[in-house]
Amino acid sequence: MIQGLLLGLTAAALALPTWGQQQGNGDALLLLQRVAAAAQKLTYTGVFTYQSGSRSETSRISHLIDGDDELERLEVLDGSPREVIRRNQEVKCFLPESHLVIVERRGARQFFPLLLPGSLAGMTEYYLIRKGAAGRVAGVDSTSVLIEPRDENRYAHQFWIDPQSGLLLKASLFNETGKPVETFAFTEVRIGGPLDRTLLKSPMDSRTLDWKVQHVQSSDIKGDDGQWLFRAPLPGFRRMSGMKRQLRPDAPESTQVIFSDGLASISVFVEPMAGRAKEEPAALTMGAVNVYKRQIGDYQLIVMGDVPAAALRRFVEGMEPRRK
Amino acid sequence: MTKELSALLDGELEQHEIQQLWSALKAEPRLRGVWTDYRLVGDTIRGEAKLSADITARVMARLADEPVVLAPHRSKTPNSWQRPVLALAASLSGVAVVGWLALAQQPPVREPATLARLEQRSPAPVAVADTTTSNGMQEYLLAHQANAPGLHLPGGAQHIRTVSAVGNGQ
Repeated sequence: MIQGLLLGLTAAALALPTWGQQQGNGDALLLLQRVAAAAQKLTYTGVFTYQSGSRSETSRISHLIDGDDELERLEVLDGSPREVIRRNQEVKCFLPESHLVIVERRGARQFFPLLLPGSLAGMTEYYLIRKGAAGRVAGVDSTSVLIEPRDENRYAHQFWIDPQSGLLLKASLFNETGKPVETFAFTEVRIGGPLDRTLLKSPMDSRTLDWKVQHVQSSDIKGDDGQWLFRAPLPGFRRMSGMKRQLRPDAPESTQVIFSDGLASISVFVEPMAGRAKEEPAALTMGAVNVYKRQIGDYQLIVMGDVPAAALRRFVEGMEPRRK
Repeated sequence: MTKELSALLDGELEQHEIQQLWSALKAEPRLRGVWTDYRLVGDTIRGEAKLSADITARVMARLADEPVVLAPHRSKTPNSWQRPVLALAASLSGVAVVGWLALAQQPPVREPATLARLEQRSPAPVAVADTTTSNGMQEYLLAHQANAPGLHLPGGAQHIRTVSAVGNGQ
């Protein structure tokens, strides 16, 4: 099923000889780095299952690099036919049961390399990264990488990677007790082109004339706006970006600040109360993503991320508005 | 007078009749209420939510209770409108006044078509209200997943969390 590995060949030729004997940290890191680079450069199409808790769904994904264009389509094949299509920076999420399209435009800033060498090295301070057992995934002989947290502020991961292309074929996320909470795995994959451009078009795109459209626009905030104090920052999590956005037409403008340790991410959404009813703090779970909502003063905080619920809560409880 | 309102929405009034109706609307709060309700239903269905979510939800709930009344076909037959309009006026009341004068500048003919569409699939818009009020997390999750750095799943697969969570909530 694998063809056209032109992109991966050079890197693979450099990296392959070291895989046989060494089981070192450096090896695993190198693999991760290739995964990060491959994600945006490879053309591929395949079917994967996504398992979250007791729920499991099958989806088809296609990713096409065509000149300067990056196109992507994700179709859920089970249940309600939800779809996400992306053309460069524009993401459209079709939710047919709600007759809703959410359109998100990302700024060019998003296209930094996902994992910089510096941040990879930094990750080893918070994660133990090593090579795991080899295994077959979707008919491809894969190498696995185990990533274990060194503290209680993050989850463990295991990745299965096609060593030739660097494509991530399977990823599992484990909770505090070592139980898998989320698994993504290709069951079938074709790496490399050619890929028909029409595969990347959604038939829903033309059927949504009477659907509700929510434009999620954002504008960057440069630097820290300094409005909030984080008294309980999670070690290793750095502020990656900040933006202002209107998430719903009926909602006030919300500020989103993203923190990441290189693997896990936390988004902090701050919105003015604007006459909202007073609510007690609440914790929610959406698959591997935990959510903690809290109101403080004139603000509502919605904080979410793929980190343990206790860590997230500690982080949010430590937030307070800076006195002017 | 509700008869004229319906005719206005159907685009069946002459210019001088429209002027008369505007005067009546200005003078009669009750009539204005009916008109507002009309516009509100239209706005809600088209998703132009200038309204707070709970008003939208309330309207949607009312519509769900009485789907039958929402069938004002664009028919030229006299009286075909009468029952629907009156029933509509009765079923929707007490909603906030929106800027009805400004709205008059929009082509009113679109309204009946929208209402007719609602009639065909009345359960769907109710689902919108449900999702946005009870769940309400999907936009946040999308914003989070779309912008979160880190070691991504291949391409757009990180969005599976968003769409999967949405599926879960229904």
